[in-house]
Amino acid sequence: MGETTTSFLPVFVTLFPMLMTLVIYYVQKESAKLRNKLSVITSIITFIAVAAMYPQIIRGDILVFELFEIIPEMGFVGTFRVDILSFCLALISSFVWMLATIYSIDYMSHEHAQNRYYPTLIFTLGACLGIFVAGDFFTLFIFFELMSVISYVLVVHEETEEALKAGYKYIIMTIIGGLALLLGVINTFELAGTVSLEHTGMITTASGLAFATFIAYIIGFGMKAGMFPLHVWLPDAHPVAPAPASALLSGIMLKTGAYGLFRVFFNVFNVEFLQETNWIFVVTVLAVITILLGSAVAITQYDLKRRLAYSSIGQMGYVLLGMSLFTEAAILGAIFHIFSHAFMKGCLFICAGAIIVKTGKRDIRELGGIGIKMPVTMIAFTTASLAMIGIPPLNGFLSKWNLALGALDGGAPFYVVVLLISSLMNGLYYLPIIINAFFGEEVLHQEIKADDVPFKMLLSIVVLAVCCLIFGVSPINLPFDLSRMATDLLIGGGI
Amino acid sequence: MYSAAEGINQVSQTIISSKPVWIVLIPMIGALLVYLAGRKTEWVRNILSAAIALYTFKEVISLYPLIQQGIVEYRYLIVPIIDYELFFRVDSLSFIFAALMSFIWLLATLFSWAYMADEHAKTRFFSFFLFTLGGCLGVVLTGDLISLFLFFELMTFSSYVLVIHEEDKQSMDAGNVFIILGVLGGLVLLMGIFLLYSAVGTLEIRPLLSELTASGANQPLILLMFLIGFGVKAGMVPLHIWLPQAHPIAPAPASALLSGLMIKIGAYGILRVVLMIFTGTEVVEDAVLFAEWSNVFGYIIIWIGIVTMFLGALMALQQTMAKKILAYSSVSQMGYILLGVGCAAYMGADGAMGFVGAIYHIINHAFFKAGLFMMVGAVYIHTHELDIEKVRGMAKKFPFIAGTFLVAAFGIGGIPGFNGYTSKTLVHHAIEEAYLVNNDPWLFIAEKIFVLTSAMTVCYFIKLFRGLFLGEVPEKYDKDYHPSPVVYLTMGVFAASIIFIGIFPQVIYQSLIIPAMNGFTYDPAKVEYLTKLNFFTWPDIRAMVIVLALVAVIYPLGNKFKLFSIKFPDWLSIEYSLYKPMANIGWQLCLFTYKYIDTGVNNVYYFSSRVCRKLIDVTSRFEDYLMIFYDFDAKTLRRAVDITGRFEEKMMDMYEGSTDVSDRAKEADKRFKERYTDTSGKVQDAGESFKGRKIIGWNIKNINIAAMIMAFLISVFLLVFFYFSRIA
Repeated sequence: MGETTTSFLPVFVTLFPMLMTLVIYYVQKESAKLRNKLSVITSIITFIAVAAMYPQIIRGDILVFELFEIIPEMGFVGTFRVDILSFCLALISSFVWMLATIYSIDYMSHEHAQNRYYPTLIFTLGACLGIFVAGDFFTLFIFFELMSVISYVLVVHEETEEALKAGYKYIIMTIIGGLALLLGVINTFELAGTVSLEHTGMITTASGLAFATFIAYIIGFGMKAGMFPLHVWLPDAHPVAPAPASALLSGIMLKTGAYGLFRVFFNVFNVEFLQETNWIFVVTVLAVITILLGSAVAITQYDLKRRLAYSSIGQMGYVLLGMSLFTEAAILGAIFHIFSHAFMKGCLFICAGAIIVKTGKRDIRELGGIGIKMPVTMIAFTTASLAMIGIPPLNGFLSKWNLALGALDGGAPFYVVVLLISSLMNGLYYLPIIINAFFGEEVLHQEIKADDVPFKMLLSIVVLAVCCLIFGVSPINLPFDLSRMATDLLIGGGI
Repeated sequence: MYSAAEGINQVSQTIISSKPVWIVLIPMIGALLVYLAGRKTEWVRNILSAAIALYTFKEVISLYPLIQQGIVEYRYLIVPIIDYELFFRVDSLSFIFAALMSFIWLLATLFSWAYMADEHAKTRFFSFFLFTLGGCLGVVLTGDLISLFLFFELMTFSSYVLVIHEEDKQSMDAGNVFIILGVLGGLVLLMGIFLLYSAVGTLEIRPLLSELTASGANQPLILLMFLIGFGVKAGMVPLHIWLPQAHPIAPAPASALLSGLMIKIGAYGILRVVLMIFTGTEVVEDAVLFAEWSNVFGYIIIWIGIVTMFLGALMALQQTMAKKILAYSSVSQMGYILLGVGCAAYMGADGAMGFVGAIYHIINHAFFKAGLFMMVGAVYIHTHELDIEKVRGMAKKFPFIAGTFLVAAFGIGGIPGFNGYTSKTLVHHAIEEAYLVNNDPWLFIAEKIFVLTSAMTVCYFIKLFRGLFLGEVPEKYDKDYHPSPVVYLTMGVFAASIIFIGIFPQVIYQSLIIPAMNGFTYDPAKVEYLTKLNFFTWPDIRAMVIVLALVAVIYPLGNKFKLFSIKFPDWLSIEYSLYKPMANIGWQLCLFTYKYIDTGVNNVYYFSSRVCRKLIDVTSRFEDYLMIFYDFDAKTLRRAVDITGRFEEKMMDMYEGSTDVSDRAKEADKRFKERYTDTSGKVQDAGESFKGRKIIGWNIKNINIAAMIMAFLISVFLLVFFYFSRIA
């Protein structure tokens, strides 16, 4: 394992967007153009800053930074700590965020309350990265709450009755989740005397309190990850948000829950303990239900974005299943699926946004013949959908391949069957959209010039679709290498 | 001759060449070029697509010298970390498929020039046409199952576009069945691949039986997964339902390829898995019957083949749409191929006869079925109708096509001198051999069904030929037709090939099919016997004569009793009795999940929030009560104060009146004294007993106002009493 290096970068990537929020907020009074540019530049700089950690991370180093003591007498310190797993998530988050911000410029240009939208978007970026680079659970909790609460503004952006209702549900559930998470953190401190991510296996004796801690974490992070009984906010909140925000909510913010659970399973507890006590089985069962429920319900939905939102639930189930099986290939599959899903769902949601903006239609039965009118958008949509179904050589296939092998390594072919049934259902709800779009009868009697989508939107769409393609079965696969290293780190216990 | 057989079984050298990669990539890149060209000019696109098909064919043929020396391999590393690589491996069997595909594809591309002239979306068609060729070639040229799966899926998705080319409701429905079953089959196949990989850790297509046995994997499960996965593509009963829907609906050149070649991919897969992966590398002497799972599955495949061929033929007899007849005929002919594969698997190392029969029939079927589809397609170009009850007498209009059609029909009917005869004879030998292994009476019946099906095959072709080409020409179609020279060319090539193979069966047999056994584990003695096989022997021809005699009985009878136009009730069809209910159940399950589970969870949340609100209500009402209580308390206090005030007034009165009372008091005092002396004894007793009781606590509740007044009065009285008594 590499050494620990003090670096200012982790703090920079989280505090820089937050500080820029203020700048953007004051600048927008002067000029809307400058505001947009500043937002994009901020997100690009943040991405570059995250990427700048790459040389050190790839050596196996761990970057740390101690900010200040938050509650000195209890030993809570605002620490930042980036290892390979954090880096994976920070990288994909800042990358998709950057594209979503670029996409927003054109997408939001006709929307109201842009002055509220951009600062919120950038602030949430900082908070989200803060979760990944936090060095202890207390700091993580603070950023987690910041992100959850601030993103409420993104959810209710439309301010329609529907959006407000969904936002209300979202905020209530988030608060419940946050409180459960706080309970978990406090319990961990009580039991282990530390909440720092430097340690692994903080709790390794079974007790009632330990189990309560486990459940509290599951509720706290599972709520964010859209796990089965806690997913109800997701299909309401994701479709009502503006397209780039939905892409981020589905593509990135769900992953904070998954990331938290990784940390809980490998830092707070450890693999042997969870397997011995069989507590992990709770997560496995819930993950299986999540997969099947998400996919099954998606088939019954006709609202494009709602279908995508339910699909997200199913796909998060893959990640949860992979991480709860604890075999090397399964964890590799789960981490790689975090990457894959961010690309795929990010792409699908912003494509959906482009379609909705251009046609004003959300019902997939009304989207016949759209593929002829918006070929680039729909080809990107098709690529991402096929990746979702797991068609080789796209990236979804690679994650499915690893998840399935992981399940078989763990001696559980049943989970492979679950994965395949879910794949079939993915096919059943994505293929009709594509088929209808390219070969369906034209229902839309609206004149649209071929791909009249603004360049910035098209750019983000195409980049994400290409990512689905090249990060599949290809010789140079950076996300896969990173996932591989993260898996080695987790399995090796060298966090 | 023995040395030749020896040579076949020896391990040949491995040649590293990147040729297979290019063979697969050329059509795929070509598809893109064709698309770009198609946007500009039509004829460039047409020429280009044919040129690319021709070049691919040339490249495949150029593999032949290499194949004779050994196996061509090429590894293209994809993700080295998980041993995931594109691995191309071409042996003789792969070469047969590749050569067959690229050749017939070339003919079909040429035919498309004529057929597609009046169609819409031509560029899309040509583009995907070529891309599908790349996918198909990829499937047969790859050397491991995961690369095979990659191309298998590519083929499924790109051929979907060909199936739904018409884009009307009928073709969209057929396309939906096609794609859903295709994805389903692909996933089951993937499951098999996963299981195999987790058991043996490799996916190379080579004999893996010893590894499988050592790993203790669940072999029948893996085999079943592969059988279903490839069986969907092969049109195996009961997984065939997409085939009679999808094949007739596609444009004729596409149907020709779907029926002639793509369903063979399924047979190829079954062949590779059952006959190669699940067999050992060594020939086991005196092997016990059913020693391996592949033998058991061979027996199952024999019966699947029998059922498939019989039902396919029966259904073909009932159709009136020419393309539907041909599609069901494809189902039926796939039964022959599966029967051959089944016999080969059933007999293990002795099953070479079934193997060569299956391969030969794959080649022959590709020629006559692709040819037949294009021939009726050539008629369709001009009539736009293929119902044999409407379009008749076309022999007068298209004499050449009628002639080639007759040749192809003789081929599929197995008339000696045409190509089908050879392969049917081989498959027939195989089933006879399988019967003779242990005189299984069921296989005896199977052999009889085989003969009956062969007769039925001839019957439905008589029906089709009579319907489409003979009889009076309806007025509507009584025009002069001038088919394009391309049509004559392609039809001519098909007819010539069929006759050539039929008359000189040994050419292909010796140069391609016998070497294909290389790499498979077969008894050298059997192989040697096969190399010397002569097809034109009297027993074989007699078998064919029997079939024709049977036709002579069945056809007039069938015509007389109208057995060829039975409308089977819906419930008899597998689609209605099995697939539709299953799809319905699936849909209901999804709806159930949505309505009850998802919404249910949602409702639980709403319910709990309602409960919370109710609790809050209750709490707030409790607070109200508390307020009221305090309110009440204050009132009571005020009343108490009032009462005290009034009491004071009364007191004042009392003081004023007390002087009058003093006299009376004296008297009372006297009486009191007397009473006191009486009761003092009693009081002492009571006092003692009172001490025994425990005093729990002084309670204010026990005191009321009246008692307080009394106590006050008594104390005043006593005060007065003591005062006066002291004076006295």
